[in-house]
Amino acid sequence: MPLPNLSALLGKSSHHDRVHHYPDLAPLRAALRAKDWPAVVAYFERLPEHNDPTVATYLVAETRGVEKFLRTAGGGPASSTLAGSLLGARLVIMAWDARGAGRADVTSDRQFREFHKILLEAEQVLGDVTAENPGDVAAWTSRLKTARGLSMGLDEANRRYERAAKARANPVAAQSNHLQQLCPKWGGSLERLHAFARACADNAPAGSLNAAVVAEAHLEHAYHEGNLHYLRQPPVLAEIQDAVARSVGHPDHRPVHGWVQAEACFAFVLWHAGDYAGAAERMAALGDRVTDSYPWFDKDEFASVRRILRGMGGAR
Amino acid sequence: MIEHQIDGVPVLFVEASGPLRAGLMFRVGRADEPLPLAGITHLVEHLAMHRHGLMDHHANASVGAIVTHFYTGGTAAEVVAFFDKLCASLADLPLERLGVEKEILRTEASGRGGGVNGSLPVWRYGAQGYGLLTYNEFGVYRASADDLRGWTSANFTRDNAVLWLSGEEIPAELRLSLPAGTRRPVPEPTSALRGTPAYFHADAAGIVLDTVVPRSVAAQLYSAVLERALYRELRLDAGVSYTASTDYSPRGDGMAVLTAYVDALPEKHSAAFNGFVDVFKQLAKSGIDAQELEAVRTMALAGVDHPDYDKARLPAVALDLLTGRPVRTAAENAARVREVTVADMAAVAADAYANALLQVPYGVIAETSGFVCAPATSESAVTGRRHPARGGGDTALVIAADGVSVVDKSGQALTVRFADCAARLRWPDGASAFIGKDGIVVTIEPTLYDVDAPALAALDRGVPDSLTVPMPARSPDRIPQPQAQQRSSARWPARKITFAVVTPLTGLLIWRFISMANAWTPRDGELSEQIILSMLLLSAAGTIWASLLGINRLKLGRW
Repeated sequence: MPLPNLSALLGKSSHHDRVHHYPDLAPLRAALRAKDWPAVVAYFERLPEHNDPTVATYLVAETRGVEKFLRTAGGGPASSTLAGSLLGARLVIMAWDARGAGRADVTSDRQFREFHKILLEAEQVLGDVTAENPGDVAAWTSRLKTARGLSMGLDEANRRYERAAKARANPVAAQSNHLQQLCPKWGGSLERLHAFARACADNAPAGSLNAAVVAEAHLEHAYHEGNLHYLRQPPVLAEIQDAVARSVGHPDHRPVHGWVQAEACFAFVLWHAGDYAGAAERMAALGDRVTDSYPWFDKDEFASVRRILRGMGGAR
Repeated sequence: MIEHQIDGVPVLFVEASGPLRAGLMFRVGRADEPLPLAGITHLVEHLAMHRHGLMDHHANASVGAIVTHFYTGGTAAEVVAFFDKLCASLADLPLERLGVEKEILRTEASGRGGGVNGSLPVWRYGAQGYGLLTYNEFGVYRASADDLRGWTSANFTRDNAVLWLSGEEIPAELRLSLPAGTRRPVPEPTSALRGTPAYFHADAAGIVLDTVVPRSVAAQLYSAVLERALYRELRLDAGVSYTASTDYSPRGDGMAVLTAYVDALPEKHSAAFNGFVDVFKQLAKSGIDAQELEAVRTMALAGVDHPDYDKARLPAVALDLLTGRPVRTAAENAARVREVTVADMAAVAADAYANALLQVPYGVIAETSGFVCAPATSESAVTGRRHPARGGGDTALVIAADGVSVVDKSGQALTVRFADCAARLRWPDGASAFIGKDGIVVTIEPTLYDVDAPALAALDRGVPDSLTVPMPARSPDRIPQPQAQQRSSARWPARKITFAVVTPLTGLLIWRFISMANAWTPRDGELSEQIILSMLLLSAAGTIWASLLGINRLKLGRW
């Protein structure tokens, strides 16, 4: 049975949908719905080099029920590293769903056990994948998440990040994940957080998405201080604006997979930093695309900020 | 390399300049000993070397898993004298020295660690054969003069020995007067594992792995590739380890044991473990890089081409000769190194992975590797009389006619059946340790379990004296005592129930007392007056009891 398509049933497309963000993902979703494994393989094989396969992997991983298909597709994870990589990514999402979004002290023992159990399976599957295909950047990115969930510590996370960077130069999704581990809440420090973010931005070619992690680092710093006003400090704002100019604001910038996430993050940070003109520019670039993922967890906030910024743009 | 014979002993000779070097190797080692006599070979070695006293030339001896090796270097006359004295000592051990040498061995053991891979043998093989390398040499407490004479005459014979020499020539006066005997077969490998690849946790400062593969040049080269890969990943790239090393050792039965070790600080154990497993798995699953093979091949060929190659490998060749392996020339070995292909290496890597046993430091999650947990408990318990732990602990001792078990509340058990008992250690204070052939140990401490004299006597009937090792007395502080804390925690459930019963009953009593006292006006000495009086006292006692319990529970915060 094909997976139900709720938005199609309701007769409208969802604007925060990944396929709406990246229309070239549509054949992948179609292949998943049709349970057409050769088409899934073909999609990943034909994915252009400039697109980080991690984003397409997220699309698969966020598809409810897809794990049943992936366990058997193409001989299952035992005979195909792609099936293993996708299944591992799906299991990571399932693990966090089982845990719930709450802080550790409001999560029940049962939730933690389930979380732990699913992550262990994910780690086993992904460990086999990276052993067979060490160049699978999406699998290394997923392994960064399992390392964090299983509390393996900073050294192991560093090692995994280095392996991800060996698999693909300047891996944005892996950088964004590793950044979380470098936050004080996960055993890192503010110095390491910013040093890593700056290194990511400095090593990347102009116009690529990597400088967005500088904005993410400042946002995490602000969360750590418990005060978004941190972002309004002139040196912080200047660094964020510089990051925009080096990435999505650069003439060489091309909308590769992941650009919506980068633009949305910049919009959020610039908005809270008080740079409304800058935020409006980022919102304009997003067009009708809506995001409800990090850092825009509140969809209503996104909508109202966009409305306000559009109003300002009209007045200008 | 030239093969000779002296007095019936095969001799390997390599012509070389410099002083004469020689070694006499016997095919007996720790893996051949019965567990209750563990260390007896070492004792023989010490006694045999005693008459040499202080020597002004180099001489020493060692006991390995399957060989005992006496070696020396010096002038022809010194070497001849060394072996004359050695053979004379083996024919007539200075048994009057037994007590002193036992003490020396105990001192030597206390100063010697088991090595980083010290625990692996018992987990892989159990308490027999190659697994005995894990155990202390407690046989030295048991070994009698007769045991030593029997062990020497059975193993230290000319038919169970090989001599190697390097120098200008074999001294014409060299004699090896050893009795005739038989060549000892190599021990059969045993297994204590239920599946591999497996892991176990230990209190250790690094990650150690061993695995068993068919002996081959490819396996030797694989060991070097693994070392390079571990060093690159964990030392150069991740910077979590200082040491990353591997070892390749033929086991004597056509197989070889490959050991790999990386160290790490405790906070980096997780990274070291994951990096180790990733590297090991990657070699097994994606194969070996041709460039890596060429790198280790070049190093191996440089070793074979070295002018001292034959001289340096003499002890290893002597071991081959003793275990019935073919002796190859340097040219043959070089050809074999050149023939190794990437496919040969991949086959070794897959084999190495499939048979791996990994020692993981405590605190590291090892299930992530996909390895199975090596058995640390028995599959079942014996059925017999239960002796609960003193002080209300969670475990109980079960003594049956066919064995002993320690069981806990979760149903896990440690069991040693008398039929499969490898040794029983017995202390003068009444404690015993039963060691099963699978390596499981059941320790019976009369201070910890409610076990009486008849039950202890029953144990003596289970295991014959020949398997019992009389251990020296322990100092009182080494004898474990039940913990006082276990007592109070075990009594808590009862207190909870007591509280739940006492509180409402007291309430009921007080209510009845008030209503009865209000209704009745009894005269002095009447029965109902006594009833009311006792109810008063009971209510007061109940109130005090309930409030004491309540305060106690409040303090603990447990309801």
